[in-house]
Amino acid sequence: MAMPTPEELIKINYNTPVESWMDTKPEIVPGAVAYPAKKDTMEGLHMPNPHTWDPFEEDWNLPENWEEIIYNGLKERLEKYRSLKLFMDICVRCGACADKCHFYIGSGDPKNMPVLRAELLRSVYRKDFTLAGKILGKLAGARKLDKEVIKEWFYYFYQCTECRRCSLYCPYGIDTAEVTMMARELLHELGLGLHWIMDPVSNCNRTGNHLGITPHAFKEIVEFLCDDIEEITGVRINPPFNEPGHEVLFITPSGDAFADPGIYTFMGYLMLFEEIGLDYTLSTYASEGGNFGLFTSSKVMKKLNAKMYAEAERLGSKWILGGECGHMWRVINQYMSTMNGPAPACMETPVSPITGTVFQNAAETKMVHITEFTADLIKHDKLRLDPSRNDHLRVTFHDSCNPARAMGLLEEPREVLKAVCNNFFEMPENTIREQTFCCGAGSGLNTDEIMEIRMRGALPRGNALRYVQEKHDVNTMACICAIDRATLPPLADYWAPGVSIYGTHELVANALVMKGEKKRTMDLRQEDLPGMEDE
Amino acid sequence: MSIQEHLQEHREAITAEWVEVIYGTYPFDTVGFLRSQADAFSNPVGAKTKKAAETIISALLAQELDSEVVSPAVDELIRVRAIQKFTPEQAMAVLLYLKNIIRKHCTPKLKTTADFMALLELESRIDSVTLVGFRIYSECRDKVQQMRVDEFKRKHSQLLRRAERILEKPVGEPDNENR
Repeated sequence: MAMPTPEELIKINYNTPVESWMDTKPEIVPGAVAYPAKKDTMEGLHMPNPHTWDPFEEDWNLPENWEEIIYNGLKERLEKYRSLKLFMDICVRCGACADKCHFYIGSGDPKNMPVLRAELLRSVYRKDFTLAGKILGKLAGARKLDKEVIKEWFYYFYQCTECRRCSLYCPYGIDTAEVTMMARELLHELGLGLHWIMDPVSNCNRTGNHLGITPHAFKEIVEFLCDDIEEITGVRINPPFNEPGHEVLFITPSGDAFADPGIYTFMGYLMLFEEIGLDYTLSTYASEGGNFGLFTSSKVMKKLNAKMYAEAERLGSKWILGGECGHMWRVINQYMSTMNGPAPACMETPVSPITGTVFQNAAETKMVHITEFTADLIKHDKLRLDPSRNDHLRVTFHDSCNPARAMGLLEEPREVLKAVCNNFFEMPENTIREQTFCCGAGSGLNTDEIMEIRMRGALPRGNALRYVQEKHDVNTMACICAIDRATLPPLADYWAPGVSIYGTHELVANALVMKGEKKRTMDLRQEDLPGMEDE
Repeated sequence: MSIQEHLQEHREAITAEWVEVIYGTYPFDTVGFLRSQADAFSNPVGAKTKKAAETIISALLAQELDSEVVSPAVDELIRVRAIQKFTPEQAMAVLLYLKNIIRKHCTPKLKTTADFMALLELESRIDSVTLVGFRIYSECRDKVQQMRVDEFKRKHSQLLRRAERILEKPVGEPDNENR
């Protein structure tokens, strides 16, 4: 066989494709999709149609009546959710969303345009549920459901991180994340899910957190962090676990307790609470703020979320303080009160015991985001801070998609960061705040077998980060999300090498001057603080 | 007019053609976006490609091929292609394709042996640029692999630490660096 020339290799074709988008199919090869959930995991969770299958095989062993399952599943959801019906009907395909998706920008794959991704589901909806689609078929943008469509759904709806950047630009306000959520629910009806989502769901269901850590191990691990705090500050903290009668229940993603660099953020929380004398308890049962049910189905999301109120009720807490997390806050802010509300009778509208501020915005959920809480402390001058301890850090801030777009938490983290760091620089305007770019691996895509896909999705954020790195010597990107703390280190390694990732409360604790502390010579990572080393 | 002078005159046209060729390696429906969205943060692939192409071509036509100028530009281009849906050959072929464009622009002007030598010299420079690209491509692929390992370690850092306390000995390599 003749060797291909460079021009043959790059196969440039200036002609309009002959095939319509409906006929082009994704190539499902290793690296193109994440590993499937195990049958055992799905059985344990009572998920529908658990079965063993391999996405790289031709046959996905779908249940025999799979077409009926999808038809009924879609019908049920169209009746249940007015929003879904609306999102299926009102899109005029104006294309405003098309070039706003980080996966589209980074991959150039047209089916990553949010409009076309939604069209993958919409075309099936048209065929079965609209008169025009039934009669006119393809002319009305309708297509018949076949097994290839299912594969295409699996491929593309797991290349959406439900970040909702596209929704921001939609003149109709179509929530594309909800379209993805529905498509994933339908795939789950056929027993198709991701290992990296369903394994944490199963662990969470069993032990309360994503890694499946049992209560005694959880307690031990938090105590290691307290040992480190003592070494750094000389202050010994003994956080209460599962103790009834405290005003506040603190819940954070378990990644903060188990994974680097989240653990430093967790140390930051503990130091802050100690310093202000907060009356709180941790829980080894509600030991996970994250909720991978959001990426699975509303049923699973509801079940995993239920432990928050259940634990607050069991312990008699007045309100819940929540840690730095992204999707956790979409669940809390947008779904919790209708799923598992109203909050237990023992709970009250949160009031800061230090400043007296009433968090009216949390009157419904009784849950306050820690950056709101800390920003309020700083505004009332309740913390002694020495931001010069962070002087070796030149900091930018990555708005996590969900706190930014699903709860409008834009100013609070910035207020906090500017109070604890002297060098703060914003990334370009069209990449921050509501317009923030996703880390590329939210919504359960943070698994290493699809690292290349993640890096494509991470390109727009990485590019903006690289810009401030070159322009302002930025070496630190702060965030308020545990998934970010896991996904941003590789993003920075690849797109802006030399930038480290920090949780916001790690930076707070570096600057926090605690009562009775010894002279700080190290930061929370136990690295020497420049200019403050031991003589 | 020497071949170099001739190519200098055609520099913008060559750059534009090369950028079009690189854009052309993306799906048809995406080329328009790459071409028309001018904001570097909304269209990083387009912006990086354009900037890299301009820098590489200027460097090729300069007195001396300066590696400090060329390497970062090749990096901009190849780092993106190394994680996109291209085979390694496809990712790298765009660098070699520049030869075709340059030949097209100078063939009518090739009259003397000196002209041919100048062209061959320029093509050797493109070979050097391609080798730099090969190094960067390999580094990127290694990096992706290393990121997988690092991520696993970060994800389980506290569990490893707990295991070490229980076992009273280090698990794998020393923990200090990554903690």
